[in-house]
Amino acid sequence: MKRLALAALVFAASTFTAGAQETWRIGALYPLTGGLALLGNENLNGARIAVDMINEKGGVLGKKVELVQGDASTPDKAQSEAERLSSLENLQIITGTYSSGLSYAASQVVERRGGLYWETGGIADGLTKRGFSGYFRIVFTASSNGQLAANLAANAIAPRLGKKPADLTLLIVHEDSDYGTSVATAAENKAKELGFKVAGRLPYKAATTDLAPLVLRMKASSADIVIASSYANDALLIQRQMKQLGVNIGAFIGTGGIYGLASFGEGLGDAVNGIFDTEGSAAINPATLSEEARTLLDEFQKRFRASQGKAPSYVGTQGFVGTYILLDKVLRTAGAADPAKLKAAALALDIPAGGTSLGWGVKFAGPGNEMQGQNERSFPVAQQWQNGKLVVVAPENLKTGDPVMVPLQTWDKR
Amino acid sequence: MLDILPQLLVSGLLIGGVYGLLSIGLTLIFGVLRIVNFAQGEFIMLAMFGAFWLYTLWGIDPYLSILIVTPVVFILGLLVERVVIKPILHAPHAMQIFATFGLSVILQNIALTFWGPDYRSVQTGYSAQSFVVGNVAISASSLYAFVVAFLMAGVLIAFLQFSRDGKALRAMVQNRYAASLMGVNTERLNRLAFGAGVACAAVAGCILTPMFYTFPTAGVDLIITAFVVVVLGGLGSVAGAMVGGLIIGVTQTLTGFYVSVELKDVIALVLFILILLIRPQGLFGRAGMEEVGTK
Repeated sequence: MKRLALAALVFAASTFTAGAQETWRIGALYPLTGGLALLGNENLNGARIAVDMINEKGGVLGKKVELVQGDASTPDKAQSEAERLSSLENLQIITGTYSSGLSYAASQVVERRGGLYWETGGIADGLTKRGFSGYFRIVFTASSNGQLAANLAANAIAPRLGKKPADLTLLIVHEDSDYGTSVATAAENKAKELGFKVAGRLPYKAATTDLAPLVLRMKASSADIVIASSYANDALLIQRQMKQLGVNIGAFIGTGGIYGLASFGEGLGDAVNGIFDTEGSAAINPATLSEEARTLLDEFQKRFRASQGKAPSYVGTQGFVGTYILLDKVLRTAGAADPAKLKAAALALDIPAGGTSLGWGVKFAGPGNEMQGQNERSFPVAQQWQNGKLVVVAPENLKTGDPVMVPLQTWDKR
Repeated sequence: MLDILPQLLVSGLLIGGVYGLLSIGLTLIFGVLRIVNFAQGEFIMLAMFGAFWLYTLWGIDPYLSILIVTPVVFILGLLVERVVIKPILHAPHAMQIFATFGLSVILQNIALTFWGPDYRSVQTGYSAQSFVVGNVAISASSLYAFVVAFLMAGVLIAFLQFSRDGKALRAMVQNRYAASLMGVNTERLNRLAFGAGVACAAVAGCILTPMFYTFPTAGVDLIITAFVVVVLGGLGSVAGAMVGGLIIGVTQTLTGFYVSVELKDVIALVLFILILLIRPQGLFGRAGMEEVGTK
């Protein structure tokens, strides 16, 4: 009986695929192997769930959506895969890319061919300063993230240290790629504007086995607050070497990436508590989300846990949110994989804040704007590790808790 | 700024010991087989995964797991020698580079397929511990790595000097054909040397697991400096690898603090070039070493 049911199901499925020969084919470019594989895959897994959810609700205008994957592990490969997807596969819509460097390379190809590039992860400001008509970025920019870190230091940390910014020394350390540099530069400028004594901005190479010199310079600068943009091993090294070398500070702010991942908490144990992290978050006050956004978020988190065996990080969630809007709003409105209609549909989007599962609204800067293609309603939030979990602590209207452990305890007590 | 100098020297020597640890296997393989093993970092990565899983599944301390992981990687090394290295032993350099580089890509992606791209880490009591002497802090995990590096170098040098196989290996390095005419089984020794070289990588991997994240491309970050250290010390010289490691470690730490963290690698490389201008064969290398035995 069971077998019969199964056979019937298979039969039904095969006739179904035969019937729906036409699908929406969307290029999905992420780094799936190599050094960026972790977050590239996480992003893609989020995008896949968006596709599944749309397909189960009947697809877009009666047609199913299919992701055509490309592995953009390096800028070179990003470019050749973008070339393959847009010419050989003849795709008009490509989404990606998690990393800014990869997005630069891939989107150039797509823009030249006149297609739509839908960025859900790369945050370098320059991406939307090129005046590309087909490039849309749903996520916030690096500079807004760096500015948030400095604002957090002024509004939430300085009062808890009992001092004014002018009496506090702030040090910025960052890995020296486009990502780290742009976030750190924005943080530095904002911190100076807010009146902090900025002891310096120290770039370093993320692929390193030792950061003792950096940590010792941190000590020599007697910084009260450190803002850091890191990649992976470097973030773990900074914390462990700070402990080993007895470098104590008032507060530590990481700017996204590894600082918001479960593996960062696992690598540090209890020592992670008290560290701040600025990036997007799905853990903002749910009351600020629309009914639809909340339902979608629940459904997404359930599915992600079921398929991956762990809760989605912010990066996985941004892949989901970005892709869902692309399919449900842009493609549905355009009604055809025609670049001109797709671009018009994207520009016409007007979703108020709280309308997406990350709390963002969607409104793209139009042609003529300096940041053409940038979503003006996306924003990062400030979080803090508390009891091994990330809690949103700012801004006021989105937070679910208050900052604690400021100043950080000295290492012998942590 | 000068009161921190003792701390910088100690930190530099400790990381230098880690570099030495990473380099020993590489220099041994080159010394005997005349092959630059671009997959050396991936053997370190595999050992890190071995130590990680032994710790996660059965609570075995990474240092103890050396006893389990090293023999496994040694046997893997023997297999790889048979399948990948032996056929290209007399092939042009470019082909050898492609073969070992290809091996590294394969091993990375095997790890990616089996264990995924996650950053995994082991939390031991000594992961972030340190001993404080006066105003100098000594990182426990780096100190252990330093000690193991010197022990391993000592054992290897003793083996090469005094054991029968060690003497045969040295004879082979001097002149492969003369050695085989004297009855030295060069095929067996090639296999042994490659196995021992990657076994050194396995020891290094276990020792480093408490210090770094374990993930499929972990070996790439770790091994870059080792290539510099091996050439600086003299290709094929175990003692050279240790001294080279210490020189690079101290230079990076001092320039990282006094000049620029970003430029610490650059300045170490400038020093490297200067030393090679004066001693092209490396600190402990013999002139023409890279050509001996290839004919």
